[in-house]
Amino acid sequence: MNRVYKVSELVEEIKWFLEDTYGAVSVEGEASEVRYSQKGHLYFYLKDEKAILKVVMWAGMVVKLPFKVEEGRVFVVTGNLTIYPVSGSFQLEARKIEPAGIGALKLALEQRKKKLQEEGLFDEEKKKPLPLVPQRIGVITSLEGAAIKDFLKILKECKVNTHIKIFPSLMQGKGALNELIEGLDYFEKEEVDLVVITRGGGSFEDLMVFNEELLVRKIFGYPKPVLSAVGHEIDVTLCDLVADIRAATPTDAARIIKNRLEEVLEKILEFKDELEDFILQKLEREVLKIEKFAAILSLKNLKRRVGEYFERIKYYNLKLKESQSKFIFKKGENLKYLNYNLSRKFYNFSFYHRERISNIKIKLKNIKFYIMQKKEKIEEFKSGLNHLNVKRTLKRGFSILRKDGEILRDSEQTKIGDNIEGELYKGRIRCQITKKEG
Amino acid sequence: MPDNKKGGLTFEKAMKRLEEIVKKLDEGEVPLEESIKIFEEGMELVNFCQSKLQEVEKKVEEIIKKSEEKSRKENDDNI
Repeated sequence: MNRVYKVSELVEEIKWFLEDTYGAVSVEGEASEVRYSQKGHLYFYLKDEKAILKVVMWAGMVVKLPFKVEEGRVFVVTGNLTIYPVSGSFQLEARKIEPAGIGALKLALEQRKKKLQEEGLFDEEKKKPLPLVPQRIGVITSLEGAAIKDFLKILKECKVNTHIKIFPSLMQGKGALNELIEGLDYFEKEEVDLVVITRGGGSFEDLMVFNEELLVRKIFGYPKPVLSAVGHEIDVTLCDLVADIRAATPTDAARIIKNRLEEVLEKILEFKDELEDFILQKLEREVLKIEKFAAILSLKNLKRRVGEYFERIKYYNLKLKESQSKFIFKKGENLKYLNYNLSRKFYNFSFYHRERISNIKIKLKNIKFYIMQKKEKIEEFKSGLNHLNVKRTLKRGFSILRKDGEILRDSEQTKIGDNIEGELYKGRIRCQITKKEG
Repeated sequence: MPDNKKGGLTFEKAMKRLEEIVKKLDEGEVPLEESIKIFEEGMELVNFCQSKLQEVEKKVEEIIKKSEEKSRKENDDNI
């Protein structure tokens, strides 16, 4: 007969067995269902493709974790396997949690950076510009490092004087954060245009102080522009990100300041040159104008002017005369023209009439000729008549019959009842046709 | 910020005014009398800006911190 356990007895036995057998174990897996309780305890599951393991970390340990356990990230959890009798669940009580593949500090930094970025601490539009004249400079740095030497070396060459106040501070390790904050507090009250925080390159751990949230927030709310030049180009700290101006190295920081100051100086000198040039040119133009007026007004010029006027008057006089004679000439021309016109018209007129007269003459000649012709015809008729000697025929007893003056040669020329005239050798008779034959 | 207060005039204001003046003179025909006035104002501003720049002496100062902090620092250095 098997032994019948009470639940608590069995669970307790397994719990002891587990704790004795395994002791401390390290397990790697992906975090899921992460939950931070109100009391600060941390609960989540570690899982892989095939299984899950419940993990718990008590609040006292959780506060020492620099980062937050994130869903989906792979962690290596070290702790003891145990059973929580109240729920009967088997779980890993974590003493240490480390992100896999990345240091805990790096993860912590990553998470902090993300958080501050979301808060807008690194926003460009919230940054203050480099002052126009960053001449009084507060520097927070270590007196021992090369950083301050590099920085001062560049500014010694600057054409514009600078007043540099150095606040010596630890730049790494314990106490560095306090001193950096203290330095910022100090320069807040001092008359400086710009505060520079600078140090040379270092390891990730060396530069860790420049990622402290306290420092980052202090710089974000700082009333004066802050230039951060921490480490080398590759070492971008949160201090660099939050600062108003960022330089890669201490030398670069000094160059930014030097360039600005020299630019301003140059600009002033440029303005000066432009002003002087302008006023000189302006005055030169005015002097030229005055000289021109003076030349015009000079006595010599006046005499010449009067002479010129005389010449002009003479010229006009001449012109006038010329135009007068031209005018007269013109009149003569007009008359000539008129005369010409008239004589021409007259000539045309007389020519026309002469033509007409000669035409008439010719016509008259023609008429004479015509009359002569007629006369000749008449003579011809006369002689013709003589030749015919009609009377003699009539004498011989012949008669001429006429109807309406027309000599009749055919009986057809008449009809019965027509009155006809008969010319005899002596006298004329009137007859009426009573019969027609043949 | 250097102490630029001199009748309310700051370095920045002076530079801005200078820029305006040069632009104005550059732009067009300013009558002679006015241009001389403007020129004088401009040269005053140039002098003001130059003197402001020269006012600052070339100086490097180390802030002496409180003695206890100094001794603490020395301790740290010794570690």
